Amino acid sequence: MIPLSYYLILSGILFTLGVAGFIVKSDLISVFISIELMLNAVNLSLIAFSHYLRDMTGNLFVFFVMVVAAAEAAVGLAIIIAVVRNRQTLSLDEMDLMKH
Amino acid sequence: MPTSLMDYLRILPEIILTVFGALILLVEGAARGGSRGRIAGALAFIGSLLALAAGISLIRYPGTAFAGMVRVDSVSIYFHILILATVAVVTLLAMDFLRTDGHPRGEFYALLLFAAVGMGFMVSSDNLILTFIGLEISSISSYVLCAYRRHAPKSTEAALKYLLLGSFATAFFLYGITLLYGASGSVSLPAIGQSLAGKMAAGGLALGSLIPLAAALIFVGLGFKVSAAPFQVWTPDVYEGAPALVTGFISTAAKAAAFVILLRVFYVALRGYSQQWFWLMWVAAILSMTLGNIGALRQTSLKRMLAYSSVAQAGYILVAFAVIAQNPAPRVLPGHAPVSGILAGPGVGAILFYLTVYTAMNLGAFAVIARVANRGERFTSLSDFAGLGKRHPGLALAMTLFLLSLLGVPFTGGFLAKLYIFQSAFQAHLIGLAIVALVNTVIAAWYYLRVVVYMYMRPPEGELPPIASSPAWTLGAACCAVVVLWLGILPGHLLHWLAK
Amino acid sequence: MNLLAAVNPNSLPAGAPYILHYVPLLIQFIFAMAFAGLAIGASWLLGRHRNTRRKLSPYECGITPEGDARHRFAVKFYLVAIVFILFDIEAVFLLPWAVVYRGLGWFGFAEMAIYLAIVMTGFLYIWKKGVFDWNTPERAE
Repeated sequence: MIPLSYYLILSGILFTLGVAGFIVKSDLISVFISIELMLNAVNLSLIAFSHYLRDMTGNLFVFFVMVVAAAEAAVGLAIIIAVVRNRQTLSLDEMDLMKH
Repeated sequence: MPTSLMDYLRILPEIILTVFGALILLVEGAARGGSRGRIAGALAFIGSLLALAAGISLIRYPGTAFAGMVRVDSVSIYFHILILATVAVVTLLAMDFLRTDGHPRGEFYALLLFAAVGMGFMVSSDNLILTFIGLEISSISSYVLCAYRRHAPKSTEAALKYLLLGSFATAFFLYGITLLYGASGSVSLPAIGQSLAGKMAAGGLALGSLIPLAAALIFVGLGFKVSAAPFQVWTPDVYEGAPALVTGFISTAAKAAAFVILLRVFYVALRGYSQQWFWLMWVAAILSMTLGNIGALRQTSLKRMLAYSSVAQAGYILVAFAVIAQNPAPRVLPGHAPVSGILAGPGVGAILFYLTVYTAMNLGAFAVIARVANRGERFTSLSDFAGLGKRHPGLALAMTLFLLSLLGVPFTGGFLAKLYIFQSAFQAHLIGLAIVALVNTVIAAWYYLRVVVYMYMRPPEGELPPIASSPAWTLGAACCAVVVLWLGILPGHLLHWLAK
Repeated sequence: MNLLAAVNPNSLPAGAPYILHYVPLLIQFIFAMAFAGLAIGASWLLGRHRNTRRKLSPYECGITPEGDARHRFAVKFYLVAIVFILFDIEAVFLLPWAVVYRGLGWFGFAEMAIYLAIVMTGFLYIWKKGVFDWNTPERAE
């Protein structure tokens, strides 16, 4: 069997990549994808734990995470459309209406 | 385990809110023209009052539901009442806001009720999956509420920032609870607490090194939600850009619910690790109070100033969390104790009292801002409030009351709330923390009192459009004011109830 | 150790490195690549090439392609995408439910009915709001 730590390390790397993408990228869609990557890294951990603990809860949790991620994506896309209509840009660097 | 009627009774407030929320969507889908929003508002108010009644009736049904997923104890009943009362008041205020804004849409109320459903599950959940779902229901509804004025660039930008940083924080929270699940083998909070305690007694556990990491990740996630420093960067922009009423809602009810999760996760599940998380709370408390108050000093927008102020207020509450960490061992296990078990620790009562007062005074302050800001929210800067004492004495008086309470002046609820926090800090020998909190209160005096000075001692600048009278708004704001005064002058009732 | 012994993982000795379990997968991968390469290469070598302008133009269902591929889509399409994401993912709960349906009995049926009723409320709402109405221009609000 593949040791649990392999999964956890891969999941940790994916999560870190997501965090890095979130911080570095200035394109709205890329930032959004980074968040999805973070959530899927968590899903990988959940499945690995679930398998090693011989417990179904982790599997169940993944379903809910997926559904919530979809809801978040839907609302996110809607808000992005609203922003683009108002501002005509997808760049986060230009989101500075409230800097003081 | 078979589900019984009792299980459904214990989530009755959430059921009522969901039914009314769905009803509003159906009515709103069919409604045309002038009736839009009007029926929805009435439905939302009735729904929130019914849910409030159901929340109060929970007192008679303490216990757990759905195989231990939902726990109805004193904390969950208390916060159900607080949150549902807030929703009812926000509904009243919203009737005025939606009419003034000129685009009445019933969806506002539906989202409000759905957010409350999420918060209800947040405060009564004893299961990390349910906690996560509750957190997301309330967060996603709040994102949309922030974008309510969708043709206003500021409103949508605020929603975007809230969404991005909120989802970012959620991912951290989720990663944290996943590691907690992996280390303990359970997602039930009491079971995690027992499992970790048992394994620690048996000489460490295989994945024990994950626990501090899990605690830190959960704290980052929830730190974002309660806007504690150093995770507060989103707060000023979101609070300034969102409609004032929405800001009032997310800065009070949503924050209170997130604090309850913080309490349950750390106090019930991670009790054995309080030595480690004490420092998380300690550092975050000092940073939040200091950065919040210093940031507020140089703001000219009232909404932005109150955003920084709410960061500072979160800091005061975190002081009480540090106190809890100092005395982590209650006599009884909260999982098995009678209903009041979770209140046994020092500091918990102070948190409950503070959150109650904070909710009333902050919501009240934002209600006044929403009213003065008027259509399109054009008047939110300090200079717009100049001379308000002469133009609208009632509004100015209410604002003064809320600001003085936020500052912590005697005879307002804010004074006693701060007093209990400081007192518990001194009793726990956290002298340094208490002194930082005191110094911060002095700093805060400057920017709160500056607004009062502007309202009463400066001549009005420019022309303000007339503010139409609104009975619904008056009733809602009066509720906030009464709570602030009542808890400031006669706190005995609540304290007695808390002690029970 | 002979790599070919790993073709059947069941015949592996107990202490063999775990990675050897992947040998069948590797073999399948090699075969797949070889077949694909062979098919494309053979048609390239054996076929005759007479490129005309029409042949090189992008294929679009037999219709003459027009305009730039990067033109802007109406927001309606995004709306459909959003709605699709939501209703697509709702179905995820039906799967585990269907697996244990017999064990749940009427309780499971009632719970799913409630769940679907809530989903249908959302469906009715967006229907009334005209999300499926593709022909009318966007409602001005």
